[in-house]
Amino acid sequence: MRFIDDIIAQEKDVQYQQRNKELFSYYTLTLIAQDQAAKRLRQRLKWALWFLLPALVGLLLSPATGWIMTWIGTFSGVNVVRVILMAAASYTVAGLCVFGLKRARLFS
Amino acid sequence: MESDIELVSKTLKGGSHHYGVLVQRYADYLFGLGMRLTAGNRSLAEDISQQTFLKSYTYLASFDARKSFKHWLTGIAVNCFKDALKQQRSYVDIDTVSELTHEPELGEDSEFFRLIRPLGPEDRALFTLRYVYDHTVDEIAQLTSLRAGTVKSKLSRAMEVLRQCHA
Repeated sequence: MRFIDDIIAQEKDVQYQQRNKELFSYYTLTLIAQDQAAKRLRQRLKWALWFLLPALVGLLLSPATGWIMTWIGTFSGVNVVRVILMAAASYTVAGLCVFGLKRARLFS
Repeated sequence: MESDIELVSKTLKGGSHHYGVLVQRYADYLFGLGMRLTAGNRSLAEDISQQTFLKSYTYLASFDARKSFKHWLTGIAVNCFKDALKQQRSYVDIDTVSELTHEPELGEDSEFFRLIRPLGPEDRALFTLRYVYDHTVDEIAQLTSLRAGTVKSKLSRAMEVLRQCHA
């Protein structure tokens, strides 16, 4: 214990020094400035995108309007009862297929 | 000489050149802390001190002026040390991490580094903060985000390991 205490007491007196403090602080400040500049740029880009968003939506919307109208037109002629019947038939066929596959695996 | 608090508020008001004074003031302290935490790994110690300054500048607005700036920096440095270990873990095999894969350079293998080398990185940090920097267990718990009881038990275990290794 005495040995450990002595080493610790000795270590407390040791002063560590950067190899080149001037260069270190210059480099650190440069890194900080670089980091801040990158953050400012990201912030500006975010604002620029935010301002450009309405224009971008408007630009995309004009050709999209035609497609949307065609799509809505297609769906307006759909018979809901027929869709439900088709879905029920599809699910029944799919269910039968799964059941058949399971049975086939059981007896193979 | 301007106080740390004055320099921090000046930095927050107008630019990083005021922060340069703080960098100059604490460069050696953080480097020393890094050297002790890494058991004499000079390049890692330099990285840790640099990362500490970068992080502290980023979060400078969250610094509580009622507390000591040096203590705040110490907490950030300990976190940077943990991050450095995590980074090493992702590159190096987990069993060899405790050695920090470091070959001591001439003149940096002091008795203290040889003393603490058998300890794992976390125990080494706790041991250094407690016995070299004389922080209380509660302060260390706050710095390392551990519970005071955990710090106490880890410290006594570390001391036991050292006694056995250097008997």
